[in-house]
Amino acid sequence: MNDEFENELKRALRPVEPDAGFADRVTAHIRDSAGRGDRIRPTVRLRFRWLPVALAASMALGIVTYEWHAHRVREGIEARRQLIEALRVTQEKLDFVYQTVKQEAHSNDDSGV
Amino acid sequence: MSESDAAPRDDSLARARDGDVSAFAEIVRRHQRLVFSLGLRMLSNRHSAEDLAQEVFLQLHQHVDEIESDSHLVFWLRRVTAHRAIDRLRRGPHREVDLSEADSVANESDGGDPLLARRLRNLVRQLSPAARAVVLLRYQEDLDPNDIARTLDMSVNTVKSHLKRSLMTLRTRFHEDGQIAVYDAGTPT
Amino acid sequence: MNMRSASKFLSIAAVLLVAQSAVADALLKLPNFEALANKATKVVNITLDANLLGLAGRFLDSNDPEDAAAKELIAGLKGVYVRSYEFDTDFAYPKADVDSVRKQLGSPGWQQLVQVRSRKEHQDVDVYILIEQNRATGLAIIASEPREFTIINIVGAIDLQKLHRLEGQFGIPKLDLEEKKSGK
Repeated sequence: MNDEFENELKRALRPVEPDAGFADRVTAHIRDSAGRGDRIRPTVRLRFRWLPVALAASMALGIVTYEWHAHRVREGIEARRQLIEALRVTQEKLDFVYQTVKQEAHSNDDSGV
Repeated sequence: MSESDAAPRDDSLARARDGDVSAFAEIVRRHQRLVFSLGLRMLSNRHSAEDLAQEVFLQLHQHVDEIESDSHLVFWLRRVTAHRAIDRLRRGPHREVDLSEADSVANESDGGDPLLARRLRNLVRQLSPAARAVVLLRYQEDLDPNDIARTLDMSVNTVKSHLKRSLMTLRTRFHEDGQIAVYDAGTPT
Repeated sequence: MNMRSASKFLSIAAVLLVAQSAVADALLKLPNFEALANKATKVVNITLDANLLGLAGRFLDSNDPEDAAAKELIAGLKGVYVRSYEFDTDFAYPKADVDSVRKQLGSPGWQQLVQVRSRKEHQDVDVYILIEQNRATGLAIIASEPREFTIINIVGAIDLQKLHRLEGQFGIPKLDLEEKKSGK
């Protein structure tokens, strides 16, 4: 639900254009890097000729190792995400406590307590 | 829906994948406003924003083969721009913000109060990088919390928390300057 | 084994027992709330023991202020547990279960740090710490509202200063407790 404040925020953050010629500068950079004409996608051809059994086996082992590592990485990323979430929830509750205590302290000051 | 999402579909993406630089340039022109603005609101500096936007489009050019559709393209641009901007801010040190530089073209007239708009943009700049990105994706790009979460690799709860707290902070600071600070819990979005 | 060795062994065992029970006390017995997941509108259920904390720590980026703050905080921790449930009707959760956690905080060592009862926000929050040899070795936060409850249990050496310094991270704005009163 948007209120007037949020509408003003939207208006203040409306997108703006970069300086004129931006797209030309980007494409000039691309052309400079390539050093040739319009078609500048490098072609890459993969050639599989003959795979010895030993190579296939080491690839399989590599895949298993990679999968284990990838699993561990996924676990680690998930653990990190959960930790950040846990700390966020903790801070949210402590933040509420701090604010309430602060407001109480201010109102006590006002009433001469 | 943002301007980028509403752009008419054509085959420029397919041609760009094929190596057509002029097709890629069409893509840049269509989406430069989104990328540049996100960069500008994050980095508060036009030069840095253009630098960042160039990097993003150059990266896009290298990875255009992986883009499956126009909507995927927009998602990719928002995601890469936001992440790169957050990285830059966290690496620091940043150039001193030149407000006149940051706002020099911001006065495209839309009937709004330019001083109010500038004040709000200044307040948004005071948010942490992650919170700032969330606010921009919500209020510049009009994304919902689920889409923001996907774009920034955050949980939806974290996004909602950022939004709730950032709005509270923005409202509170907006109402300061000699007035009583108002703590408004705000409405979760 | 002679008397001296036996006595030394018993002392060490006693210390270990005390240390073990200290860890056990800091770790609260949390009820199983899985049945609530079906009717909750939002669930945060996090269990990070020492192993998972170590793993998470390896994926924290020291160059990122948010990650660096988290890394510093978890250095002495043995566990982080969060149970947070939101509902769309009042008191859809069993208050007795939440109270059973509060009861554990009446055990020796646990001290109530803050108790907040907010009529405006309709939220009650209790913060407890476990003190062992002048150090905080456990933290518990119990927050309840009509449509939400949250239980947080942090086990291990907690640096409350570092926890306080987290404000400004994770989407939580900096709260300047020393700021001057606004003019009226």
